[in-house]
Amino acid sequence: MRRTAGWRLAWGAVAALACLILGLALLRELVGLAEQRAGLTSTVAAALGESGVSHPPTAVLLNFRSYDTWLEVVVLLAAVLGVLSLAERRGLSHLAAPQEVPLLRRLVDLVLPLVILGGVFLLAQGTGAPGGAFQAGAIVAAGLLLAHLAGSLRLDRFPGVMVVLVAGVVAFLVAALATLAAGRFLLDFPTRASYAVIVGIEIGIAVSTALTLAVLVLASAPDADGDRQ
Amino acid sequence: MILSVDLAVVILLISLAVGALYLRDLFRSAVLFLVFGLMMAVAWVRLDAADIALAEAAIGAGLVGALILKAVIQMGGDGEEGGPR
Repeated sequence: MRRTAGWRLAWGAVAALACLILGLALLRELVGLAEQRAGLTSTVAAALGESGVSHPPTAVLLNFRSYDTWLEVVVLLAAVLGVLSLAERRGLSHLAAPQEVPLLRRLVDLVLPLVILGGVFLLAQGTGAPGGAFQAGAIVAAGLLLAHLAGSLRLDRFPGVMVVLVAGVVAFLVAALATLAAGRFLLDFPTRASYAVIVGIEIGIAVSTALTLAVLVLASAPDADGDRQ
Repeated sequence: MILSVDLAVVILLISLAVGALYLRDLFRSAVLFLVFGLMMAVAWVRLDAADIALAEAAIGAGLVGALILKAVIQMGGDGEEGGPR
């Protein structure tokens, strides 16, 4: 026993020393970083006029590096498909059993339009200010979850769940095929049309993100919800 | 003034992270993680990165927090009161 305690102490000391050295080295690098912070900021600013939007992060995410964003949407889709296939035993029709509390339900009915309005606002201002499809989708997802749990909206009775889940990926796919068909590079939007294309893709992403996140939370627990009141 | 706010955010972040990692009660850890996500969003705002702050608050704190809480409650039967263990 004493021997293991000694070993532990020694290992702890070694680990602490290693952490200290690593921390100091990182700190030194971090101080050096401040001098070269510009990065690609000026490149993005110079090309902002061609992107169709006025907010640099949106321009990067949905125009300059839209392929990355496409793959992110695919990752989300893969995650929700994985969760759904694990929950397959009970299927989508057995998502968490809603609780019927009249007061809660009335309150959620009042709040839900505001939540959706907030999501739409974030989506709409995403081309010119902080906001955007994922954030809007997350907020609407919270609203959908509230509504489902309060019993005022049954997500499992929602028609065409799968269609909505793939909306973001499909929006990107259509844009990609259109650019290829027009003889351009993949996802290289013409400047004239890029605003409309970006807004279209963002709407697709927002709608599918909202439902994806809500289904992720609801469907990830196929066993625990049936017996909880 | 604003420096003291930043310092407070940093201290809160570190102590929330330590608490989330080392608390015995998983349910409380999950709640601390949620609060950590919200404080992280404040830190992103202070760093002038409003986009990341929005994503952190909505997904880091909201969605992941909900998933972790759900997992904790499932693992330990009833997580509402004393905790899973």
